[in-house]
Amino acid sequence: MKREFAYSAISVALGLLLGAAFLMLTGKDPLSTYRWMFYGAWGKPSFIAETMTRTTPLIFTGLALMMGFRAGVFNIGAEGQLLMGGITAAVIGIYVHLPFPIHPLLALVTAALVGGALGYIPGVLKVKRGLNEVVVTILMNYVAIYFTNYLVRGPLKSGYLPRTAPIAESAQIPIIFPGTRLHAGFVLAIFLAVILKTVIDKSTWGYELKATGYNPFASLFGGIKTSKMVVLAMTFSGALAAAAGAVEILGLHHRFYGQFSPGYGFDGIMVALIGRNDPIGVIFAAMLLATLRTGAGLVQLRAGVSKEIIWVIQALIILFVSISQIYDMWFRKRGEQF
Amino acid sequence: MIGIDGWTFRLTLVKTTPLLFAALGGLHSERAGIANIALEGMMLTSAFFSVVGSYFTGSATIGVLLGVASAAGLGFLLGFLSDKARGDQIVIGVAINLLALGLTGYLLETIFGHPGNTPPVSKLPEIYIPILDKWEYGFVFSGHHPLVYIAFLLVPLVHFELYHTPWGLRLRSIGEDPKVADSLGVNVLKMRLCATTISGILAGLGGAALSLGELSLFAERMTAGRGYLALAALIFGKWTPTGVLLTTLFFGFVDAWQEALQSQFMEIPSEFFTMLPYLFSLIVLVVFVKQIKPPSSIGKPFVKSK
Repeated sequence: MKREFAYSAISVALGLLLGAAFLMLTGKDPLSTYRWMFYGAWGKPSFIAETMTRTTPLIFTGLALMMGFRAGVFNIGAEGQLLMGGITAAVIGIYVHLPFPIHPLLALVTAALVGGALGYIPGVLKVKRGLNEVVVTILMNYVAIYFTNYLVRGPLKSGYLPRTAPIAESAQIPIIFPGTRLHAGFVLAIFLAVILKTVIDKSTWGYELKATGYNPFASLFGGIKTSKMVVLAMTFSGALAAAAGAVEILGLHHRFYGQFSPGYGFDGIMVALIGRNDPIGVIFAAMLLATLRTGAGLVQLRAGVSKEIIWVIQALIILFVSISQIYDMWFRKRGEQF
Repeated sequence: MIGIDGWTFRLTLVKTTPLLFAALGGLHSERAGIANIALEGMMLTSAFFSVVGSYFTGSATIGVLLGVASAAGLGFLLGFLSDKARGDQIVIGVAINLLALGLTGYLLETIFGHPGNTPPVSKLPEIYIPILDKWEYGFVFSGHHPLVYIAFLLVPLVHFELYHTPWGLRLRSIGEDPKVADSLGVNVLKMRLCATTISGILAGLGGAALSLGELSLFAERMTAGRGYLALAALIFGKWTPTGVLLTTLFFGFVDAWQEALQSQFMEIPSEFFTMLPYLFSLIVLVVFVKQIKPPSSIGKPFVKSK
């Protein structure tokens, strides 16, 4: 396990290095770019709070993808589930009237149920029909994107802009550091990661999940109901992704608008992979991505580099992560030589 | 039905073209056993570089060549990383799509000075077929940009390639059982690399058809999931050229139809109609596809035994 994390660190370093080469190739200064990126994310207490704010949804979606990967399925539909979770939370936050702690809780749970259903469907299609969950969930993403955008420009529109009305104050997840945007959703995310870590590492269920992903045939012979595990993993994955959207709406934006997620669902893929499908690893990987995201603002403003560069760097890191097996071979070969 | 006339069918052919190219591209790599979720990124990259080529040289043809070359590079990368580095093919595909998104967004801003879209560039010419122009409905089939004709002509060609040439037989065999093919002397790694590069070339033609055929500029994220629709079409089409032709025609038709509906029902937000092709393809998947069998070795890296 430790070696795996080392591979992630190597991948991140290589990604940043190749990113620097790319910056130089396009006539930009990589050092100043990276300096501003780091400063923009960690340079001041208020910047740090902002980075933590952006870490929050990434932990949720990272955990969502991790659940799938653990069972050997790829829930690339996290983005759509996130949007549907967000709109569900917004609707309950606007139209249902309840006192404070119950209101956000109900919104969150309902959103998770909707997301769970959206994960359950491709899960069942996979085990019953052999339909590839990747293709099904990607198509579901586009339906969710256009559907929610339709809602905020049509039936749920409030005012001139394409967005919903604000949610009731009783539905808001409270801010934990006054003067920043950091809300209690962050604590919830960390808490969930710790719980999942215990469940996955210590329970029979966690073991069966791992076994299903590792070797479905052996698990089947070993008496594990692998189809059930796959469907369960997809359902939980969908619920976690939807929770990401709900927490963003209830804690941060307080209303739903189409572009509230800059692709957090897709980022979950990276977070889970860099975090090596370990809940605690996910927390750190989410912080890394949040650093890129938060730092991007100053990169554009101060270093004069298009903030799109962070996408290039992200892609390079994930490319290096995807070929981690090569490091394995490389290290083993060296080990044999010495 | 509402909104359907000759022009809808004409637009269907235009809308089918990028999907058909990409799906035929995906067919090559998936038949060789390499899952290709990167079609989306290949199309987007080619759409961008086609416009860049056309912008700087004034020639749409050179634009298409540049675009196709960039996508072929990504195809090569997919094959190389899948086999040489034994990476997870889906993850590599996701990474390539991310890379395409970042690269095109970054270069768009760096080269043209502002985000959003490029200025208009010279596009592909329209080609008229004289015999058809005399017919009442000739306009459905005539006056398209050349890539439309090429896409549809490719279908019988790919069919012939796949089922009537030694190369095609080998391609299918390495997708089903690379070990057996290898033991019979087929160079599996080289063929898989060729197959993913070809898939890049074809997806690249699809991207160019979008930016230089249908339109004459590049806009950020302009492929909007067409690569994924092509992948779905490949699955409904059961990985065969004729199957792919029918399914992409269906998607193309739904896309053309929703555009007609959009302009007819201005009071309904356009997103509702834009959603339809994706929703329809999901419904088709769930209702009509009973049990599918992809090429057996798909997703697994090939490791040559010593």
